[in-house]
Amino acid sequence: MPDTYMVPEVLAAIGRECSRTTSYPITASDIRKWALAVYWPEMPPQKFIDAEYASEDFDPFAWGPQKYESLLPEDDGSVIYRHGINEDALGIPKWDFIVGLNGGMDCQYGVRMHVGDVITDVKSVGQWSERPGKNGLMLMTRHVSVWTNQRGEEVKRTINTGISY
Amino acid sequence: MSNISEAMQAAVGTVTGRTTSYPITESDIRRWALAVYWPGQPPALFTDRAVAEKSIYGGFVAPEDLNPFAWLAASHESLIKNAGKLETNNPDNPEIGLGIAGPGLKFQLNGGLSVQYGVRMREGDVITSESAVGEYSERKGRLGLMLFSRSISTWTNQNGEMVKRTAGILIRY
Amino acid sequence: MTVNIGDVVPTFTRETGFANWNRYAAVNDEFVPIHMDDAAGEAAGNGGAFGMGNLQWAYLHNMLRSWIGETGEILAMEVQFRSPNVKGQTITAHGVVTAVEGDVVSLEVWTDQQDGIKLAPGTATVRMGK
Repeated sequence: MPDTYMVPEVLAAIGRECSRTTSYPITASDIRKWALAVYWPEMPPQKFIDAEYASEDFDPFAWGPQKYESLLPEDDGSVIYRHGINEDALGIPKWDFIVGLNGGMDCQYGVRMHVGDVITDVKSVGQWSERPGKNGLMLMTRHVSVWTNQRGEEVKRTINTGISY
Repeated sequence: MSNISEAMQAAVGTVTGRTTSYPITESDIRRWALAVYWPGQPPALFTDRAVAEKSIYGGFVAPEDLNPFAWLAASHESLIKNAGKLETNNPDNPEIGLGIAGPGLKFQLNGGLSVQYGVRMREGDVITSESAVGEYSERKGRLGLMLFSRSISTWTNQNGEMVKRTAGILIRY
Repeated sequence: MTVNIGDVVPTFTRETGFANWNRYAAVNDEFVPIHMDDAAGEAAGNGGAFGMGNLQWAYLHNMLRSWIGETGEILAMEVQFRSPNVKGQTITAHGVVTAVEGDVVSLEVWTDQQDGIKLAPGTATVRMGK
Protein backbone atom coordinates (compact mmCIF):
# COMPACT_ATOMS: atom_id res chain seq x y z
CA MET A 1 0.00 0.00 0.00
CA PRO A 2 1.53 3.35 -0.97
CA ASP A 3 1.96 6.30 1.38
CA THR A 4 -0.32 8.28 -0.85
CA TYR A 5 -2.48 7.76 -3.94
CA MET A 6 -2.26 11.44 -4.84
CA VAL A 7 0.58 11.01 -7.29
CA PRO A 8 1.14 13.39 -10.24
CA GLU A 9 -0.71 11.09 -12.73
CA VAL A 10 -3.80 11.06 -10.53
CA LEU A 11 -3.78 14.82 -10.08
CA ALA A 12 -3.23 15.37 -13.81
CA ALA A 13 -6.30 13.25 -14.64
CA ILE A 14 -8.74 15.45 -12.73
CA GLY A 15 -11.27 17.02 -15.07
CA ARG A 16 -10.28 15.01 -18.13
CA GLU A 17 -13.14 13.83 -20.35
CA CYS A 18 -12.67 10.12 -21.02
CA SER A 19 -15.52 8.73 -23.09
CA ARG A 20 -18.68 9.58 -24.97
CA THR A 21 -21.43 6.96 -25.18
CA THR A 22 -24.50 7.37 -27.38
CA SER A 23 -27.73 5.49 -26.84
CA TYR A 24 -30.15 4.05 -29.37
CA PRO A 25 -33.28 6.18 -29.75
CA ILE A 26 -35.51 5.55 -26.74
CA THR A 27 -38.65 3.55 -27.55
CA ALA A 28 -41.98 3.34 -25.78
CA SER A 29 -41.21 -0.30 -25.06
CA ASP A 30 -37.96 0.63 -23.26
CA ILE A 31 -39.78 3.08 -20.97
CA ARG A 32 -42.67 0.69 -20.32
CA LYS A 33 -40.57 -2.42 -19.58
CA TRP A 34 -38.23 -0.51 -17.26
CA ALA A 35 -41.20 0.74 -15.28
CA LEU A 36 -42.81 -2.71 -15.17
CA ALA A 37 -39.56 -4.18 -13.81
CA VAL A 38 -38.94 -1.54 -11.13
CA TYR A 39 -42.53 -1.49 -9.86
CA TRP A 40 -43.08 -5.27 -10.00
CA PRO A 41 -45.16 -6.87 -8.54
CA GLU A 42 -47.34 -3.78 -8.71
CA MET A 43 -48.29 -2.01 -11.92
CA PRO A 44 -46.39 1.21 -12.57
CA PRO A 45 -48.11 4.58 -13.01
CA GLN A 46 -50.10 4.76 -16.26
CA LYS A 47 -47.89 7.56 -17.59
CA PHE A 48 -44.97 5.11 -17.76
CA ILE A 49 -47.08 2.38 -19.33
CA ASP A 50 -48.12 4.93 -21.94
CA ALA A 51 -44.51 6.11 -22.19
CA GLU A 52 -45.38 9.79 -21.78
CA TYR A 53 -41.84 10.11 -20.49
CA ALA A 54 -39.32 7.88 -18.73
CA SER A 55 -38.84 7.55 -14.99
CA GLU A 56 -35.79 9.47 -13.73
CA ASP A 57 -33.84 6.29 -13.00
CA PHE A 58 -34.39 4.93 -16.51
CA ASP A 59 -31.22 3.86 -18.26
CA PRO A 60 -31.30 4.09 -22.06
CA PHE A 61 -27.89 2.34 -22.22
CA ALA A 62 -29.15 -0.94 -20.79
CA TRP A 63 -28.33 -3.86 -23.13
CA GLY A 64 -25.73 -1.77 -24.88
CA PRO A 65 -24.99 1.63 -26.40
CA GLN A 66 -25.33 2.48 -30.05
CA LYS A 67 -21.85 3.99 -30.06
CA TYR A 68 -18.90 4.26 -27.69
CA GLU A 69 -15.97 6.61 -28.32
CA SER A 70 -12.90 7.32 -26.31
CA LEU A 71 -12.09 10.99 -25.75
CA LEU A 72 -8.55 10.25 -24.62
CA PRO A 73 -5.87 10.42 -27.31
CA GLU A 74 -4.09 7.62 -25.42
CA ASP A 75 -7.07 5.27 -25.89
CA ASP A 76 -8.19 3.95 -29.28
CA GLY A 77 -11.70 3.17 -27.95
CA SER A 78 -11.57 -0.47 -28.99
CA VAL A 79 -12.44 -1.62 -25.47
CA ILE A 80 -15.62 -0.39 -23.85
CA TYR A 81 -14.97 0.46 -20.22
CA ARG A 82 -18.10 -0.16 -18.25
CA HIS A 83 -17.60 2.96 -16.15
CA GLY A 84 -16.24 4.92 -19.09
CA ILE A 85 -12.93 5.77 -17.43
CA ASN A 86 -9.86 4.07 -18.88
CA GLU A 87 -7.41 4.31 -16.00
CA ASP A 88 -4.61 2.64 -17.96
CA ALA A 89 -4.84 5.29 -20.65
CA LEU A 90 -4.77 7.98 -17.96
CA GLY A 91 -1.55 6.52 -16.60
CA ILE A 92 -3.03 5.76 -13.20
CA PRO A 93 -0.75 3.30 -11.36
CA LYS A 94 -2.08 -0.22 -10.83
CA TRP A 95 -2.50 -0.53 -7.12
CA ASP A 96 -3.27 -3.95 -5.62
CA PHE A 97 -6.75 -3.25 -4.30
CA ILE A 98 -8.56 -6.03 -2.47
CA VAL A 99 -11.91 -4.53 -3.13
CA GLY A 100 -13.68 -1.78 -5.10
CA LEU A 101 -17.02 -0.62 -3.73
CA ASN A 102 -19.88 1.45 -5.06
CA GLY A 103 -19.91 4.25 -2.53
CA GLY A 104 -23.05 5.87 -3.82
CA MET A 105 -24.54 8.09 -6.51
CA ASP A 106 -25.54 11.70 -6.44
CA CYS A 107 -27.78 12.72 -9.32
CA GLN A 108 -29.21 16.01 -10.41
CA TYR A 109 -32.00 15.76 -12.94
CA GLY A 110 -32.67 18.12 -15.80
CA VAL A 111 -35.22 17.57 -18.56
CA ARG A 112 -37.17 14.32 -18.85
CA MET A 113 -36.32 11.58 -21.33
CA HIS A 114 -38.95 10.96 -24.02
CA VAL A 115 -39.61 8.44 -26.77
CA GLY A 116 -37.29 9.17 -29.67
CA ASP A 117 -34.59 10.85 -27.60
CA VAL A 118 -30.99 9.89 -28.19
CA ILE A 119 -28.94 10.32 -25.03
CA THR A 120 -25.22 11.05 -24.95
CA ASP A 121 -23.21 10.30 -21.82
CA VAL A 122 -19.85 12.02 -21.37
CA LYS A 123 -17.81 10.63 -18.49
CA SER A 124 -14.95 12.53 -16.93
CA VAL A 125 -12.68 12.24 -13.94
CA GLY A 126 -14.06 14.25 -11.05
CA GLN A 127 -12.13 14.22 -7.83
CA TRP A 128 -9.77 11.82 -6.17
CA SER A 129 -9.13 11.82 -2.46
CA GLU A 130 -7.82 9.48 0.14
CA ARG A 131 -8.70 8.63 3.70
CA PRO A 132 -7.25 6.24 6.25
CA GLY A 133 -9.63 3.45 7.19
CA LYS A 134 -9.56 0.28 9.28
CA ASN A 135 -8.42 -1.67 6.20
CA GLY A 136 -5.71 0.80 5.36
CA LEU A 137 -5.51 3.86 3.13
CA MET A 138 -8.66 4.15 1.00
CA LEU A 139 -8.84 5.80 -2.42
CA MET A 140 -12.10 7.64 -3.06
CA THR A 141 -13.00 8.47 -6.63
CA ARG A 142 -15.77 10.76 -7.71
CA HIS A 143 -16.34 10.45 -11.43
CA VAL A 144 -18.79 12.63 -13.31
CA SER A 145 -21.30 11.47 -15.91
CA VAL A 146 -23.31 14.06 -17.84
CA TRP A 147 -26.24 13.01 -19.98
CA THR A 148 -27.61 15.30 -22.70
CA ASN A 149 -30.31 14.70 -25.28
CA GLN A 150 -30.15 15.32 -29.03
CA ARG A 151 -31.13 18.96 -28.44
CA GLY A 152 -28.15 19.46 -26.14
CA GLU A 153 -30.36 19.77 -23.06
CA GLU A 154 -28.99 18.30 -19.84
CA VAL A 155 -30.92 15.24 -18.73
CA LYS A 156 -28.88 14.10 -15.75
CA ARG A 157 -25.59 14.83 -14.00
CA THR A 158 -24.28 12.08 -11.79
CA ILE A 159 -21.35 11.87 -9.43
CA ASN A 160 -20.44 8.22 -8.85
CA THR A 161 -18.40 7.58 -5.74
CA GLY A 162 -16.03 4.63 -5.66
CA ILE A 163 -14.09 3.36 -2.69
CA SER A 164 -11.06 1.11 -3.18
CA TYR A 165 -8.67 -0.37 -0.69
CA MET B 1 -57.82 -43.55 -13.90
CA SER B 2 -58.05 -40.63 -16.31
CA ASN B 3 -57.39 -37.00 -15.51
CA ILE B 4 -59.58 -35.87 -18.42
CA SER B 5 -63.07 -35.05 -17.18
CA GLU B 6 -66.19 -34.78 -19.35
CA ALA B 7 -66.19 -31.05 -18.72
CA MET B 8 -62.60 -30.76 -19.97
CA GLN B 9 -63.43 -32.77 -23.10
CA ALA B 10 -66.46 -30.56 -23.77
CA ALA B 11 -64.32 -27.43 -23.55
CA VAL B 12 -62.17 -28.32 -26.57
CA GLY B 13 -62.60 -25.67 -29.29
CA THR B 14 -63.62 -22.85 -26.95
CA VAL B 15 -62.13 -19.49 -27.96
CA THR B 16 -60.54 -18.26 -24.77
CA GLY B 17 -59.18 -14.85 -25.54
CA ARG B 18 -57.88 -12.17 -27.82
CA THR B 19 -54.75 -10.20 -27.02
CA THR B 20 -53.28 -7.23 -28.84
CA SER B 21 -49.65 -6.18 -28.57
CA TYR B 22 -48.12 -2.74 -28.31
CA PRO B 23 -46.37 -1.76 -31.55
CA ILE B 24 -43.14 -3.72 -31.95
CA THR B 25 -40.13 -1.45 -31.52
CA GLU B 26 -36.61 -1.66 -32.86
CA SER B 27 -35.40 -2.16 -29.29
CA ASP B 28 -37.75 -5.14 -28.77
CA ILE B 29 -36.15 -6.78 -31.81
CA ARG B 30 -32.59 -5.86 -30.82
CA ARG B 31 -32.87 -7.03 -27.20
CA TRP B 32 -34.56 -10.31 -28.16
CA ALA B 33 -31.80 -11.01 -30.66
CA LEU B 34 -29.10 -10.09 -28.11
CA ALA B 35 -30.62 -12.47 -25.56
CA VAL B 36 -31.04 -15.48 -27.86
CA TYR B 37 -27.61 -15.16 -29.46
CA TRP B 38 -25.75 -14.35 -26.21
CA PRO B 39 -22.85 -14.51 -25.76
CA GLY B 40 -22.37 -14.32 -29.54
CA GLN B 41 -23.37 -11.27 -31.58
CA PRO B 42 -26.73 -11.47 -33.35
CA PRO B 43 -27.07 -10.93 -37.10
CA ALA B 44 -26.80 -7.23 -37.96
CA LEU B 45 -30.22 -7.54 -39.63
CA PHE B 46 -31.70 -7.36 -36.14
CA THR B 47 -29.54 -4.56 -34.69
CA ASP B 48 -28.32 -2.24 -37.44
CA ARG B 49 -30.90 -0.04 -39.15
CA ALA B 50 -28.73 0.58 -42.20
CA VAL B 51 -28.28 -3.17 -42.72
CA ALA B 52 -31.99 -3.85 -42.18
CA GLU B 53 -33.00 -1.17 -44.70
CA LYS B 54 -30.64 -2.55 -47.33
CA SER B 55 -31.99 -6.11 -46.86
CA ILE B 56 -34.85 -7.64 -48.84
CA TYR B 57 -37.12 -6.66 -45.97
CA GLY B 58 -36.39 -2.96 -46.33
CA GLY B 59 -36.41 -2.48 -42.58
CA PHE B 60 -36.28 -4.29 -39.25
CA VAL B 61 -37.93 -7.70 -39.08
CA ALA B 62 -38.05 -9.65 -35.88
CA PRO B 63 -36.59 -13.10 -35.22
CA GLU B 64 -39.45 -15.50 -35.95
CA ASP B 65 -39.58 -16.57 -32.30
CA LEU B 66 -40.08 -13.01 -30.92
CA ASN B 67 -42.85 -12.64 -28.37
CA PRO B 68 -44.40 -9.16 -28.84
CA PHE B 69 -46.72 -9.73 -25.86
CA ALA B 70 -43.90 -10.08 -23.33
CA TRP B 71 -44.21 -7.96 -20.16
CA LEU B 72 -47.53 -6.35 -21.07
CA ALA B 73 -50.09 -6.50 -23.82
CA ALA B 74 -51.86 -3.35 -25.00
CA SER B 75 -55.19 -5.04 -24.50
CA HIS B 76 -56.51 -8.39 -23.51
CA GLU B 77 -60.05 -9.57 -24.01
CA SER B 78 -60.85 -12.64 -22.06
CA LEU B 79 -63.68 -14.69 -23.46
CA ILE B 80 -63.58 -17.16 -20.62
CA LYS B 81 -65.63 -17.01 -17.44
CA ASN B 82 -62.96 -17.00 -14.77
CA ALA B 83 -59.96 -15.06 -16.00
CA GLY B 84 -59.79 -13.27 -12.68
CA LYS B 85 -59.31 -16.51 -10.77
CA LEU B 86 -56.01 -17.50 -12.39
CA GLU B 87 -53.09 -17.88 -9.98
CA THR B 88 -49.53 -17.41 -11.16
CA ASN B 89 -47.96 -20.74 -12.14
CA ASN B 90 -50.95 -22.85 -10.96
CA PRO B 91 -51.02 -26.06 -13.02
CA ASP B 92 -54.84 -25.98 -13.04
CA ASN B 93 -54.96 -22.54 -14.70
CA PRO B 94 -56.25 -23.81 -18.08
CA GLU B 95 -59.35 -25.30 -16.43
CA ILE B 96 -59.72 -22.61 -13.74
CA GLY B 97 -60.02 -20.05 -16.50
CA LEU B 98 -62.72 -22.09 -18.23
CA GLY B 99 -64.74 -22.32 -15.04
CA ILE B 100 -64.38 -26.08 -14.73
CA ALA B 101 -62.53 -28.28 -12.25
CA GLY B 102 -58.89 -28.90 -13.09
CA PRO B 103 -57.17 -32.28 -12.76
CA GLY B 104 -55.35 -31.12 -9.60
CA LEU B 105 -51.93 -32.29 -10.76
CA LYS B 106 -48.93 -30.85 -8.93
CA PHE B 107 -46.34 -30.23 -11.62
CA GLN B 108 -46.35 -28.71 -15.06
CA LEU B 109 -43.85 -28.59 -17.89
CA ASN B 110 -43.64 -26.97 -21.30
CA GLY B 111 -44.30 -30.04 -23.44
CA GLY B 112 -43.47 -28.48 -26.74
CA LEU B 113 -44.60 -26.29 -29.54
CA SER B 114 -45.83 -26.87 -33.07
CA VAL B 115 -45.75 -23.73 -35.15
CA GLN B 116 -46.44 -22.57 -38.68
CA TYR B 117 -45.09 -19.19 -39.73
CA GLY B 118 -46.69 -16.71 -42.09
CA VAL B 119 -45.30 -13.21 -42.77
CA ARG B 120 -42.46 -11.74 -40.70
CA MET B 121 -43.14 -9.41 -37.79
CA ARG B 122 -41.78 -5.92 -38.47
CA GLU B 123 -40.93 -2.78 -36.52
CA GLY B 124 -44.20 -0.95 -35.92
CA ASP B 125 -46.47 -4.01 -36.29
CA VAL B 126 -49.33 -4.54 -33.89
CA ILE B 127 -49.97 -8.26 -33.42
CA THR B 128 -53.30 -9.78 -32.34
CA SER B 129 -53.41 -13.26 -30.88
CA GLU B 130 -56.59 -15.33 -30.69
CA SER B 131 -56.37 -18.41 -28.50
CA ALA B 132 -58.57 -21.49 -28.28
CA VAL B 133 -58.65 -24.74 -26.28
CA GLY B 134 -57.00 -27.65 -28.13
CA GLU B 135 -57.11 -31.40 -27.61
CA TYR B 136 -56.41 -33.27 -24.34
CA SER B 137 -54.58 -36.64 -24.31
CA GLU B 138 -52.78 -38.88 -21.78
CA ARG B 139 -49.77 -41.16 -21.73
CA LYS B 140 -47.81 -43.09 -19.09
CA GLY B 141 -44.35 -41.59 -18.83
CA ARG B 142 -41.28 -41.65 -16.57
CA LEU B 143 -42.94 -39.26 -14.13
CA GLY B 144 -46.29 -41.14 -13.97
CA LEU B 145 -49.57 -40.68 -15.87
CA MET B 146 -48.94 -37.54 -17.89
CA LEU B 147 -51.70 -35.25 -19.14
CA PHE B 148 -51.11 -33.40 -22.43
CA SER B 149 -53.25 -30.35 -23.09
CA ARG B 150 -52.99 -27.99 -26.03
CA SER B 151 -53.60 -24.32 -26.50
CA ILE B 152 -54.00 -23.10 -30.08
CA SER B 153 -53.16 -19.51 -30.88
CA THR B 154 -53.32 -17.65 -34.16
CA TRP B 155 -51.40 -14.38 -34.60
CA THR B 156 -52.28 -11.79 -37.22
CA ASN B 157 -50.80 -8.36 -37.89
CA GLN B 158 -52.64 -5.05 -38.35
CA ASN B 159 -53.12 -5.92 -42.04
CA GLY B 160 -54.89 -9.17 -41.16
CA GLU B 161 -51.98 -11.26 -42.44
CA MET B 162 -51.21 -14.49 -40.61
CA VAL B 163 -47.96 -14.23 -38.69
CA LYS B 164 -47.96 -17.46 -36.73
CA ARG B 165 -50.18 -20.40 -35.79
CA THR B 166 -49.12 -22.29 -32.67
CA ALA B 167 -50.21 -25.37 -30.82
CA GLY B 168 -48.59 -25.14 -27.39
CA ILE B 169 -48.46 -28.35 -25.37
CA LEU B 170 -48.62 -28.35 -21.57
CA ILE B 171 -47.65 -31.53 -19.71
CA ARG B 172 -48.98 -32.01 -16.23
CA TYR B 173 -48.23 -34.82 -13.79
CA MET C 1 -26.82 -23.80 -52.61
CA THR C 2 -27.99 -27.28 -53.66
CA VAL C 3 -29.61 -29.17 -50.84
CA ASN C 4 -29.76 -32.96 -50.62
CA ILE C 5 -31.43 -35.44 -48.29
CA GLY C 6 -28.99 -36.23 -45.53
CA ASP C 7 -27.29 -32.81 -45.58
CA VAL C 8 -26.25 -31.71 -42.12
CA VAL C 9 -26.93 -28.12 -41.05
CA PRO C 10 -24.04 -26.32 -39.30
CA THR C 11 -24.78 -26.54 -35.60
CA PHE C 12 -25.46 -23.76 -33.08
CA THR C 13 -23.96 -24.33 -29.64
CA ARG C 14 -24.23 -22.59 -26.29
CA GLU C 15 -23.07 -23.35 -22.76
CA THR C 16 -26.18 -22.78 -20.67
CA GLY C 17 -26.98 -21.71 -17.17
CA PHE C 18 -28.38 -18.72 -15.32
CA ALA C 19 -26.43 -16.30 -17.52
CA ASN C 20 -28.45 -17.14 -20.62
CA TRP C 21 -31.65 -18.21 -18.84
CA ASN C 22 -31.82 -14.85 -17.05
CA ARG C 23 -31.26 -12.86 -20.23
CA TYR C 24 -34.00 -14.81 -22.01
CA ALA C 25 -36.32 -14.38 -19.03
CA ALA C 26 -35.69 -10.62 -19.20
CA VAL C 27 -36.87 -10.30 -22.80
CA ASN C 28 -39.64 -12.87 -22.63
CA ASP C 29 -40.85 -11.97 -19.13
CA GLU C 30 -40.52 -15.63 -18.21
CA PHE C 31 -39.67 -15.39 -14.52
CA VAL C 32 -40.77 -18.82 -13.36
CA PRO C 33 -39.36 -20.36 -10.13
CA ILE C 34 -38.19 -23.60 -11.82
CA HIS C 35 -35.95 -21.51 -14.09
CA MET C 36 -34.66 -19.21 -11.35
CA ASP C 37 -34.38 -21.25 -8.18
CA ASP C 38 -32.71 -24.59 -7.40
CA ALA C 39 -35.20 -25.59 -4.70
CA ALA C 40 -38.12 -25.13 -7.10
CA GLY C 41 -36.35 -27.05 -9.87
CA GLU C 42 -35.56 -29.87 -7.44
CA ALA C 43 -39.18 -30.02 -6.25
CA ALA C 44 -40.22 -30.47 -9.88
CA GLY C 45 -38.02 -33.57 -10.11
CA ASN C 46 -35.09 -32.13 -12.06
CA GLY C 47 -32.37 -31.86 -9.44
CA GLY C 48 -32.20 -28.07 -9.53
CA ALA C 49 -33.10 -25.05 -11.65
CA PHE C 50 -33.34 -25.76 -15.37
CA GLY C 51 -33.64 -23.74 -18.55
CA MET C 52 -36.85 -22.83 -20.36
CA GLY C 53 -37.89 -24.84 -23.41
CA ASN C 54 -38.49 -21.57 -25.24
CA LEU C 55 -34.75 -20.81 -25.22
CA GLN C 56 -33.98 -24.12 -26.94
CA TRP C 57 -36.72 -23.22 -29.44
CA ALA C 58 -34.82 -19.98 -30.09
CA TYR C 59 -31.50 -21.82 -30.55
CA LEU C 60 -33.07 -24.13 -33.15
CA HIS C 61 -34.27 -21.03 -35.00
CA ASN C 62 -30.81 -19.44 -34.80
CA MET C 63 -29.30 -22.57 -36.35
CA LEU C 64 -31.76 -22.62 -39.29
CA ARG C 65 -31.66 -18.86 -39.83
CA SER C 66 -27.92 -18.92 -40.42
CA TRP C 67 -28.18 -21.81 -42.92
CA ILE C 68 -31.10 -20.64 -45.07
CA GLY C 69 -29.61 -17.21 -45.72
CA GLU C 70 -31.16 -13.79 -45.41
CA THR C 71 -33.69 -14.36 -48.20
CA GLY C 72 -34.75 -17.77 -46.82
CA GLU C 73 -37.79 -18.39 -44.65
CA ILE C 74 -38.47 -20.60 -41.66
CA LEU C 75 -41.93 -21.97 -42.53
CA ALA C 76 -42.76 -24.33 -39.67
CA MET C 77 -41.26 -26.07 -36.67
CA GLU C 78 -42.54 -28.60 -34.19
CA VAL C 79 -40.61 -29.68 -31.11
CA GLN C 80 -41.14 -31.65 -27.91
CA PHE C 81 -39.28 -30.91 -24.70
CA ARG C 82 -38.29 -34.38 -23.52
CA SER C 83 -35.34 -33.87 -21.21
CA PRO C 84 -34.53 -30.79 -19.14
CA ASN C 85 -31.69 -28.34 -19.79
CA VAL C 86 -30.06 -28.47 -16.37
CA LYS C 87 -27.04 -26.46 -15.21
CA GLY C 88 -23.63 -27.17 -16.64
CA GLN C 89 -24.88 -28.45 -19.99
CA THR C 90 -23.60 -27.36 -23.38
CA ILE C 91 -26.58 -27.36 -25.73
CA THR C 92 -26.19 -27.91 -29.47
CA ALA C 93 -28.96 -27.36 -32.01
CA HIS C 94 -28.83 -29.84 -34.93
CA GLY C 95 -30.61 -30.29 -38.25
CA VAL C 96 -30.55 -32.97 -40.94
CA VAL C 97 -32.40 -32.71 -44.28
CA THR C 98 -35.14 -35.32 -44.69
CA ALA C 99 -36.91 -34.10 -47.86
CA VAL C 100 -36.42 -31.54 -50.62
CA GLU C 101 -39.20 -30.22 -52.86
CA GLY C 102 -38.02 -27.36 -55.02
CA ASP C 103 -36.72 -24.73 -52.60
CA VAL C 104 -38.77 -26.13 -49.71
CA VAL C 105 -36.72 -28.33 -47.38
CA SER C 106 -37.90 -30.56 -44.54
CA LEU C 107 -35.58 -31.38 -41.69
CA GLU C 108 -35.30 -33.39 -38.55
CA VAL C 109 -34.12 -30.97 -35.87
CA TRP C 110 -33.11 -31.46 -32.27
CA THR C 111 -31.10 -30.10 -29.38
CA ASP C 112 -28.79 -32.27 -27.34
CA GLN C 113 -26.37 -31.88 -24.48
CA GLN C 114 -22.64 -32.50 -24.49
CA ASP C 115 -22.95 -36.32 -24.21
CA GLY C 116 -25.37 -36.46 -27.13
CA ILE C 117 -28.49 -37.00 -25.03
CA LYS C 118 -31.42 -35.45 -26.88
CA LEU C 119 -33.30 -32.73 -25.06
CA ALA C 120 -35.77 -31.42 -27.63
CA PRO C 121 -36.46 -33.44 -30.79
CA GLY C 122 -38.62 -32.14 -33.60
CA THR C 123 -39.03 -31.27 -37.26
CA ALA C 124 -38.84 -28.10 -39.31
CA THR C 125 -39.69 -26.85 -42.80
CA VAL C 126 -37.79 -24.03 -44.47
CA ARG C 127 -37.62 -22.30 -47.82
CA MET C 128 -34.00 -21.86 -48.87
CA GLY C 129 -32.79 -18.39 -49.71
CA LYS C 130 -31.56 -17.40 -53.13
